Amino acid sequence: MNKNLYGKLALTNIKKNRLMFLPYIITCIVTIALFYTMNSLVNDTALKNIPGGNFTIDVMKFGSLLFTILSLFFLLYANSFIFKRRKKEFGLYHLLGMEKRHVRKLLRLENLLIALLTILAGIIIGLVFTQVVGLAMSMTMKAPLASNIISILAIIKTIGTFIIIFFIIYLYNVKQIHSVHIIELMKGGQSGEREPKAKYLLALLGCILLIAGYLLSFTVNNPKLDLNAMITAVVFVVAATYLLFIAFSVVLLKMLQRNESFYYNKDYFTLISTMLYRMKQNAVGLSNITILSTATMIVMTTTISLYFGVNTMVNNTFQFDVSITNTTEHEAEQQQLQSFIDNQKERFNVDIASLISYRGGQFAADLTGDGKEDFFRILPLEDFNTLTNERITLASNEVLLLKSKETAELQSINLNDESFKVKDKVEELPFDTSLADNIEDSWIYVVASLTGEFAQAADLENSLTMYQDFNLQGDSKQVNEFSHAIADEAETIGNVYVEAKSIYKETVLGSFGGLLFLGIFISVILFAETALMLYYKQISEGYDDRHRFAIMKKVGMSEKELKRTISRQTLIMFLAPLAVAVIHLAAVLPLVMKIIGFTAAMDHTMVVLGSALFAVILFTIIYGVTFRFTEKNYLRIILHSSKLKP
Amino acid sequence: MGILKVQNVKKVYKSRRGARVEALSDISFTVNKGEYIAIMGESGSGKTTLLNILASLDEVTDGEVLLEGMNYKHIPNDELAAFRRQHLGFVFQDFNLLDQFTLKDNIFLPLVMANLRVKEMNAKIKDIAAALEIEHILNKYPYEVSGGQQQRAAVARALITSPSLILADEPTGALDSRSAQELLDLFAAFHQAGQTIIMVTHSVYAASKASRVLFIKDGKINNEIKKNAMNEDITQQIFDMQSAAVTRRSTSL
Repeated sequence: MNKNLYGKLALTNIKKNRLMFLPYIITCIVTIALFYTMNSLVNDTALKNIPGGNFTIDVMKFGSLLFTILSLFFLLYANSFIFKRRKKEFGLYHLLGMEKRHVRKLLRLENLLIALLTILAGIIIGLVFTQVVGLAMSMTMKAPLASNIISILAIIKTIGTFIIIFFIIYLYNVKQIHSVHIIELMKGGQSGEREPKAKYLLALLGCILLIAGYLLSFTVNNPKLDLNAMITAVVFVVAATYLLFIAFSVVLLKMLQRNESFYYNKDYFTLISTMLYRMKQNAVGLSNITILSTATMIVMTTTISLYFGVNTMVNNTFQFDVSITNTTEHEAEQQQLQSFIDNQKERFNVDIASLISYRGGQFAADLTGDGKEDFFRILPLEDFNTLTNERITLASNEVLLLKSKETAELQSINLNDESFKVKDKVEELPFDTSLADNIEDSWIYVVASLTGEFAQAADLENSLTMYQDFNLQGDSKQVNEFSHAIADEAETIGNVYVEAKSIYKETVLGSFGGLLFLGIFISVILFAETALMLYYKQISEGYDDRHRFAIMKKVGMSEKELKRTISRQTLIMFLAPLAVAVIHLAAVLPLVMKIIGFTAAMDHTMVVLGSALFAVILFTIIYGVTFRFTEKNYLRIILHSSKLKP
Repeated sequence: MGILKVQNVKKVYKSRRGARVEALSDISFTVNKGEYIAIMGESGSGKTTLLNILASLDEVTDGEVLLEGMNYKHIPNDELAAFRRQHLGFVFQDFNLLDQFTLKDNIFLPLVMANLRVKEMNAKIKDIAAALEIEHILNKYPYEVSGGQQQRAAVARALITSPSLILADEPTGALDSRSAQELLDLFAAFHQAGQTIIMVTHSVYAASKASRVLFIKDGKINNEIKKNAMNEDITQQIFDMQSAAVTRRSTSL
């Protein structure tokens, strides 16, 4: 046989099996395009220059690695589906006298054709996509991000990676051809599938694990400390998902089957028996889909909440637009910065508002007497009175405390073996006290006279710091520029430190914008995998179900009844993973909230709930579209053959 | 009394390239109630097309088919399935039992489609299963029993609705000789009990058990043998008819 013939045969094969190949090719192209995009952005210098960009690059580098591994497994999975369906075809080649090396050559050509096509198309789409993503990222990060038109390094990386992946796929197929006997190849995928047995113990174990996993998710309080509990919860829920689909589903279906008046009903008879019959090969697929769906929705929820929570987070961390800090001995530098601000504010068209200045210090000691060190801040009574316009007096051994969870019950505090009476609890202090009840480490705020015994015990005089907080009023862009100018000036002067809300926000957006992007990216990939798995599962079942439905039609099932049974069956198979995934998400949500609150100093239940709802709705819509598409193709396969052969 | 009337039936297929293929050119015959008819013919003679038309699975291009006075053409499409269920029973060469069902559930399938109550279904299966000697394997799955047993379950499925007509497509084709003999004995017994049967077959032996044999060739019925008494042996006549057909073909070349 000549070379041309193989090429033609390979091309015809791909065309002929397009129902199987088309989704595979599309997946390859999408995967390659995403891979290129990711790498192109990592190698893009512009990303490095923006605040928080390095963090995004690191995350993306990790993501890229993860993505490569995922791509390999995923493409192998999709390929194995196609291969299973084509077994008969290969058997026929053997029967017609083709040797294994000829079939191997055919496979090589097919693979090469697909590889060339998809890598080329993938990179071209990736080139366009990179520009779009670059623009989107500039917008989410609120920083300009010019990207190169073509990243040669990314192209080389993409080609290299996917040539290796396609080679591995080729090796897998060759191994399949060699390890299977011709007769088995001829039989194809249809061998007498036995009905699964009801495994009550496993079903019970699944239920127990699920409840245990859910309970753990609700009870974990500090995600940092309870890392083990968290991992256990995840493992439990994943294991429970598999057990539920493998064992519990069979137990449930068998139970329904045993109820004769329910089972022997037009609507449920074929439905229950087919699902039971199918469960053996379906259970793992359904569990995979469930877990992928859950993961997709969790990633979506997390990223959306983080992004929309940025403002909350920034406001939680900063009460004022600019805070200037310096020790008392460097008051001169502070004055210098102050005059810079006064001189420059007009140039930036910005007004200074709500300026407060006070002194204070930060310390750590066991104030509460519980054996643990507490972080505390001292605010001099004198400054407190000035700021609040009050005339509180304290005896030498008396202090005031800011009311918080920790201090609510305290009547006295200890420092250096001396006891100090808590005269009163103050509802709020004139500066940022958001750390008082923060999840990680709570701070205690003490108001004490500079000349009092408490200040002496803490040696406040030698570590007295000056704080100046103020807001900037004006156009947000100019506020940002002015903040940068102040920070730069402070750096030049030295010994005086500036923190500005708008600069912090930039950094956070830099890293979160990247995270958001990555989250969307991962969601898309996870979803693509879910959808494809669904598609292949349904299509390959369609071929098996064809025969079954043809018989039913002959025995007296109308096309209408047939369609109804099919759509009900597919609907259940589609909804089951979605429903379980949504329940999983709901159960894991408290944990997600805690992690977000913990890492992002943000405690916005509504933001997380809203994001979760959004994620569920969005996911359901896309999932639904996939469902319709898959069902249509499934029906086409089944009804196509109902022009019955006898 | 004609239970089935086939009048001037013509079936033309359009091939994918648009060429017209005449599968049945002009078929007419009447089946009386209680008759046991065998249809013989070579591959491609049109007998499968005819069976599909009798089964209401395929539509005629021209002509009419009437079962118990009902014209197939006048049955609305969405009632065809119910019609098949009520009036026709099918037995196939490869049994066509569904792997996901036990034999019992396979037999119940048409009854479930007809919305029968469990009690009635159980009452119906009792006698039939006893007659077919499959009571002890009712709870087994098709792949757990022999071919003969599978075919008997398939026969039970065809009979359970008490159809006016049984359509059998090469029912002995996939069976060993002993199982085939048993099946033909069963058919003979049903025939004696008054069941109308139409059987398409290649086997001269199977055909010889029928009360009438129709020979179909090139889309036409070109011959017919009728028994005068049920115990009459028509094997030789069938052989003669077949060899005559072969001779005619070879001389016409």
